[in-house]
Amino acid sequence: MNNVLSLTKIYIKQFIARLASFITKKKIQNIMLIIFIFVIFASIIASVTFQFVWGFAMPLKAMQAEKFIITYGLIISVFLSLMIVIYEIPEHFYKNKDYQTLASLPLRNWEVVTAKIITAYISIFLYNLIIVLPSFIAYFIYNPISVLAITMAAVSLLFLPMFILLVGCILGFFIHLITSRLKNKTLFSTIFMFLFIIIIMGVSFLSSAQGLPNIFVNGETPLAIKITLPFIYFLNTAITDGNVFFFIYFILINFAYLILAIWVISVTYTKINSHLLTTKVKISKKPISFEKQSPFSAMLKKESKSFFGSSIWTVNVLVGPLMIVVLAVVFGIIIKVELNNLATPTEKHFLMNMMSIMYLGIISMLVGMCTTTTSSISMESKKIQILKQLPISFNTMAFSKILFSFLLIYIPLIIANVIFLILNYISIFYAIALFVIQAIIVFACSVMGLVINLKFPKLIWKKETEVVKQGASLAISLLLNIFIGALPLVLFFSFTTWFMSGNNYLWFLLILLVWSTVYLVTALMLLKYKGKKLFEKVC
Amino acid sequence: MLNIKNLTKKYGEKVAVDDLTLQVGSGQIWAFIGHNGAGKTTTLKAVAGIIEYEKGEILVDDINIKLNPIEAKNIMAYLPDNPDLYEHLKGIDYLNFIADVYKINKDKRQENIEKYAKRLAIYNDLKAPISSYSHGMKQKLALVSALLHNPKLLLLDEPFVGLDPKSSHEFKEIMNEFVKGGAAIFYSTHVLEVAEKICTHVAIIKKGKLVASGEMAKIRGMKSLEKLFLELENE
Repeated sequence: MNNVLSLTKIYIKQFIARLASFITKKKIQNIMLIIFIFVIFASIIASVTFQFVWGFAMPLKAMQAEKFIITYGLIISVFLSLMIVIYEIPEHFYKNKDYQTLASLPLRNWEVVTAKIITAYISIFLYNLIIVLPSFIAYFIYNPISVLAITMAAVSLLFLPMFILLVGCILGFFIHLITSRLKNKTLFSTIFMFLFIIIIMGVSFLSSAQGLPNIFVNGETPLAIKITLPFIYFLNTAITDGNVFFFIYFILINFAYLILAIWVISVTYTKINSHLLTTKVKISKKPISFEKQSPFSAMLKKESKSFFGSSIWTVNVLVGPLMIVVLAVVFGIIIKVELNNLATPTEKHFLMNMMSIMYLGIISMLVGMCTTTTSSISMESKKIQILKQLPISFNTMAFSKILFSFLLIYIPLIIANVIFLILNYISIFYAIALFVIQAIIVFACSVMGLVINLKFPKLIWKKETEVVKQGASLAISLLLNIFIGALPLVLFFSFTTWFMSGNNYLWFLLILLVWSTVYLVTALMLLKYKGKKLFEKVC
Repeated sequence: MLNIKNLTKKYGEKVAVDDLTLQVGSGQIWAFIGHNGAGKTTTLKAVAGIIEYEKGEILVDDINIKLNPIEAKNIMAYLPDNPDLYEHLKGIDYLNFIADVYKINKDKRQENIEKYAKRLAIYNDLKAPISSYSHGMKQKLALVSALLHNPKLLLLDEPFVGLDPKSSHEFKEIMNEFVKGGAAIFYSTHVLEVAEKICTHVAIIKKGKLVASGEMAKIRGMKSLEKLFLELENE
């Protein structure tokens, strides 16, 4: 048991260190300061989540189905938590860099697994707390408050992470069980991650689409939720009806999840990690190429190999372009269907212009979320030394990273735009503006992403997720790009009537063009005057 | 102390270690040499219980590493070629963690940490976070952690890489003291001059197969170890 405690202590320190390094570049020794900053960040995220929960709590109240606020809140929290831990949990147990050290020590399998499970539980508990609390608050605003209900809600917070933990463990087990036996581990784990994200999105969509009518019409929890997420059904019933038995069922089922999670990891930990360590060698039959390339092409190729060589990085970024293409199809179909339902040409003209502006605005916001440059310097890790000692200029290095990021987003964007325009051709001006504005925005976001990553690099990391999903550079870049993308939309919605009359929407396109050009010029100036100095400081 | 019988390990199509048999006795220092990718690290990892292997048997002091890994690991120590330490910990925290795992009491751990950390000139840096260490300092810390529990068998993967001359000399002394106390050392290296001086035995591996093994003097005869190695490589 002492070994479990020692190891858990190390993992918790690691968790706190990662949290601190995410919040600030400087090493924070004061634990109270870390907690304070964490509370501030958590409060911001919780308030955003609350707004979201409030969005469906009000219609539920209007339909006198307010007792299902917890059910809906928890379903959303399960999917949000799963999206967060999808990379975390599998990597925590398998393919972790500390496997070799721990495997050479006289530690029993269960000791390592227990320590890892405890740390994973704490990490999920904290994520979950931020996401789940707003649902309980919204529930108690609209429902009667009792000591029993509040006690059950508070105690349930300790048990709610167990389902997420189980799903994370099973997912990690399946991905690594299959990929550990394959030659192209990275490619297959990327595909599995994609499949899982698509399944999460699909189930989320289906459960909300299927569940709402059932709740509104019959006033009871849908059977699909009772079967797939019974703990939510038990908890909702326990809190709403004050039913202690259902609360005991809730606790028991969560214990079952925990035991199952421990069993899955215990049985597979050594075997799978050992397989993962011994990469299967595929001897290529192709002759060795001695073709000469320009330094820029070589850098671009290196960037591409680094990106596609990391399943975490690839999945994290490519979800964005995938969503953009899906969104183009959805938008295109919605406009086509709705246009057929409208009678007058004025109404049709209004809808067409409105949706085309919305499409451009939302896509512009999304592209800022998928640049690779926000983590490309951090992903170099210690290899940055190699990069710095090569006889290549800063511009060659920087523009190879920027161009790769640009191509990765802009090629799917072209596909998305072509689909959108085929479904709904608006005008030649709109088509040109669409391609030009988006090209400028993608390029600007890529340049700015690199500048931000040069300013906030994280070269020492244990897991790729620390850089790709949790880096300070990524968070800053995301917020900035959302702000840049959202501001023109705010202007549009403030003066919708004017922009929608006649061909005034062209003015909006011009504003967007100017705005994105200003952003691009600013980013390029920052790169020119600050970038090189920042790169010299990175070590 | 270490008995490897017919060890075979494959990486897909490639046979990394091919039917390797070797016995390392108490009081012996073995140099394990071979070209890059010959199978040295794979053999060491298999002995340390880090990776599974297809065929063969590994006994550490007559304890089967596959059947009784904890008992076997309790009496040996493994130093990887590129130690991956917990960067957010301080040096002393890491050593205390290792000492906890080996259940070393307070007096013994204090004695050993002071002794080896001072000899390897890392003692004054133990309170600093590992993330601030240089490669050599990390190597020294990993070496100290491997020596803490006075193992009977030391498995070292290129232990001299990154060490300064003084620490390198000191570690050679420590190795000698260990074998005089009845321990055995099996280590991989590319520094043949050092191996020739401090090792009692040598094993040469080529493309996963053991091509020569035994007492250093008998194996090399009148030749230098470097010359012998190059001859075997060119065959």
